[in-house]
Amino acid sequence: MPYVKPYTYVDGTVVTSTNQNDNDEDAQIYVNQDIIQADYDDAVFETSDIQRGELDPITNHHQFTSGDVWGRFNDSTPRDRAYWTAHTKTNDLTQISATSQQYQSLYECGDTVVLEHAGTVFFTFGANLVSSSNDQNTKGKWDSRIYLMYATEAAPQPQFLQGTRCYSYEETTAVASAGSTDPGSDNYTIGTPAAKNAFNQNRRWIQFQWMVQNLAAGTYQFFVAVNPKVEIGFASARQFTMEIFYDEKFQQG
Amino acid sequence: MTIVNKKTFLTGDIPTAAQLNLPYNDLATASSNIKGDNSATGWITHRHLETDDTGQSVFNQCKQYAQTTGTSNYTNTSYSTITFGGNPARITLGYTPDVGEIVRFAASGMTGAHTVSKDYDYAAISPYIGPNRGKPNFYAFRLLLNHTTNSVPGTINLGEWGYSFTTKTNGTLTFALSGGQVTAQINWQPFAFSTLYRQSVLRTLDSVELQCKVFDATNTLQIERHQLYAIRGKR
Repeated sequence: MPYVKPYTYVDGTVVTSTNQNDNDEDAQIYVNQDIIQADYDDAVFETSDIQRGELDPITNHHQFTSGDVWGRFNDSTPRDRAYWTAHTKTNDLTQISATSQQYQSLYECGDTVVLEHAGTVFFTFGANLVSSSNDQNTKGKWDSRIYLMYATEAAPQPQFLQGTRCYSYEETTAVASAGSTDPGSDNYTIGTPAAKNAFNQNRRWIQFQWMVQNLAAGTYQFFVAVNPKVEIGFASARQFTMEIFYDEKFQQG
Repeated sequence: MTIVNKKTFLTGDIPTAAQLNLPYNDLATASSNIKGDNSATGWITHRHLETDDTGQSVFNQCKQYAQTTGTSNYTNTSYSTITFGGNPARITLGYTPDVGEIVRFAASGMTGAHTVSKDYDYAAISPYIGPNRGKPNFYAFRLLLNHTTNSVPGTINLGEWGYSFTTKTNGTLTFALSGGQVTAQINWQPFAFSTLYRQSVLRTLDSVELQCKVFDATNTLQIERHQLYAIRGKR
């Protein structure tokens, strides 16, 4: 509540030490520790009154009063490509297996963040994903899966958050086909229906957003990774941002 | 604005009651209506923000709709809300932003295996003539905002985003007379877009929906996973 002056000076009246000390001490206490929300006027504070954020240009973090944002963009120059390969899987059978998992992270598509409070994290990922060549014949719905993943100190093995698929081939019929080792092949012959032109399937812009709500405070490593099913694939131009919005329930008591 | 004033006394001055009362009275006045003039720049931190999300709250509201399993098919030529398993792709908002406030909307997803009977029409066969030439190849998404302004419900088109079933951009119309499919449609195509809404007048935002349509009803658009987001970032 507002400050109330204990003693009012009157002309011709001798001030006692108590009178003076009471006025000063109450003012001191109020200014130092007794200002409450009700003392502030309505709708008078502006953006400039809110604590400024802090940009770290090295890590590309911008920390706001109420959250954090991190982002990175790589253009389409060859030196910025993030390659992946199924060759590191143990053998060809593993390479074409629908269930084998070996996730390879896309560099500069992730970072470690410290959530000071519980909050919501909003991710945006976009990349031009290219499937260049393959050792094994591609058949059916042939996809390298792209996942948003995270790891924590308590659970260092990366876990899935969400993701999407990057298809090299898209044959929907159950008819067995010989397949092809060239994701850009025009000669992808199958039975029926008519032969498909697979030319369009090897280079795509893949983008998705995902939101994780009520994530507990802690340290998290978020990153985008690919489970490759082609011998050579890469991400060309790509962007990745993480926006952190702290929950409102964390207020100093 | 009230700031605390005081007189500087010199040796030999005899202070008046008004002079002595001045700083205490100013403090009492200021303390009941502390404004930006009474506070330092950049002083408001996270711990100063109120704890609920009602009224003039400064808190963010991040909302999500996500459907990550199953497929649904669409042949509608006017927009209808994407729905799977009886659950429409809709986020209930239920708040009234301040005038001038910005709300972000975003959606993404993946199409499935389409059934495409017609693609590009170069030959301009009716009804694909004039401005409709070539359009059978198209399908589109829309974000639709439902609102209430002065107790009157209404809608706002937040944006439309178009995609094509095949890569065909020229040549004669390809269509399957016997009900089969054209070749080389782009299946499992990711889609993603975002937009901003600015509150120009005071209105209550009720909900936002992700919708889709095809140009030609003989083409079937299949939708797999899809997500919809609304972010009211206020600080």
